[in-house]
Amino acid sequence: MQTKARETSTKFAKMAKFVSAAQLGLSSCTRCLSLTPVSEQHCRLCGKRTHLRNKHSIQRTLALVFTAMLFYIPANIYPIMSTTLLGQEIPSTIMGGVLLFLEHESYFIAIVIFTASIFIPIAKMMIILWLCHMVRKQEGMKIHQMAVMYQITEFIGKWSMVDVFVVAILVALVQITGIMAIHPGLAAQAFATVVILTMLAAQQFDIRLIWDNIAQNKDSQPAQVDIPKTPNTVSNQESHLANHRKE
Amino acid sequence: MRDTSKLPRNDVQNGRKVQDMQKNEPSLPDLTDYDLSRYIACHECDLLIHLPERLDVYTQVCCPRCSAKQFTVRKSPIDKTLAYALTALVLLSIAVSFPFLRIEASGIENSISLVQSPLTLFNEGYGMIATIVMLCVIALPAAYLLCLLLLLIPLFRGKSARASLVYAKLIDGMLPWIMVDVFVIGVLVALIKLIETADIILGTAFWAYIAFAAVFIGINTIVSKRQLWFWVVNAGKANAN
Repeated sequence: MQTKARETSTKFAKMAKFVSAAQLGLSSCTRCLSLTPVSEQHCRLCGKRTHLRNKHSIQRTLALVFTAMLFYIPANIYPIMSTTLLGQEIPSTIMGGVLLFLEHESYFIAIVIFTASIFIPIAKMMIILWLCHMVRKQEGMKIHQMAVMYQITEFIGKWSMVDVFVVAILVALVQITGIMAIHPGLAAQAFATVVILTMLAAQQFDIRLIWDNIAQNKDSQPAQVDIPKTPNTVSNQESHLANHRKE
Repeated sequence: MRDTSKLPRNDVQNGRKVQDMQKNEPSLPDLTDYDLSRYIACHECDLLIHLPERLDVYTQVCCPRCSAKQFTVRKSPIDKTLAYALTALVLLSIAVSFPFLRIEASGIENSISLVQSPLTLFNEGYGMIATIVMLCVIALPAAYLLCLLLLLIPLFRGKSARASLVYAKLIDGMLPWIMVDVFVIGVLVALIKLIETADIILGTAFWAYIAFAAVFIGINTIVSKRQLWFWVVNAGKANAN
């Protein structure tokens, strides 16, 4: 146990010796990734307003995620499309589609649809909420885990749109007069909104906030790490950073 | 101009993480006057990374702290991207103008083109989804490719590119909303859903679009965010000369 504790403490000590751009008062532009001293108002390359971290990152992310959650309710209640077969209209919800394929024993498609339209959106919203919670709580952060989680949410972001595209193709293609026709349902719009909102939420969340904590939060560090004292301009930036995280 | 040796050096060489732990400076320097071109900040953890003077081709630079991939040094990225972008534009124009899918059931058939999917949705009163499909699948990819060509052709010919900043901003804004690969999967799922109830004939545009998606993924691997803005910096230098 003792060796393990020592290992972690050295790991943290090593981490804290790294210097982030923000500690030096450099803003890394979120658009063009170039460095500009934060004292200059606009990015040197692309002209975007300089911020050390995304402004109100957590608040904006939470607002977008909660809106997405609200839209997720109609997305599941209302039919995503309705099939008219020989004059008879059969509405189908997202979950209904999965169950239908399970009944037909086509498990593979059932799993694909379930993952894309139910599992991924819920997992994405949960992960973003968890990340926001952890950044606010500021202790017991599993930094590498959080970084991986964030990368996953960013990567899978647009893949939930598969279901909307399926509906779009089916609606256009299956228009056989008098026999079979497919019409879109309200849930398709709600679902598309959920996907767009969660994508925006993931973009608003500033992953750099979780790494700031290692350098700043003394409680979580087993070893006392001395970050070198900085000249005036830089220490101003540091307090700027601390204020920012308190939001 | 300040002394270079005073800056923290989290060096990266040939994809391996090298950090200079000995030079633990007692004070952090004020960077306001310093030339920042040899420094990058990790986009995930904001670590300041010092790049070596020369990077070999095929070097992959990763962050020493969080191992996030920063960029890869590629061999003639402009030529490759131009070739891919032109191919993709040709494929996309084929995909838009030829029949996409055809369905046959009980002797009645219905053939659609790629643009017809958003049009039908629009006629059904679902303008929002129609817009999403139109933008994410056809319009934005086309605009992205055009902007890329307009940005790169002057660089390729070694001429000055005045509007490179505008193109780069457009490209950067469009990229997250392009869903070419997602659409291909969507079409495949739709086909699986239909395959038991009706006969489906795959059109020319279908194959063209799949090829387009493959080429587009190839472009995306080359044109990373850093690569894009690196081109803008180069275009700026060309303007200055």
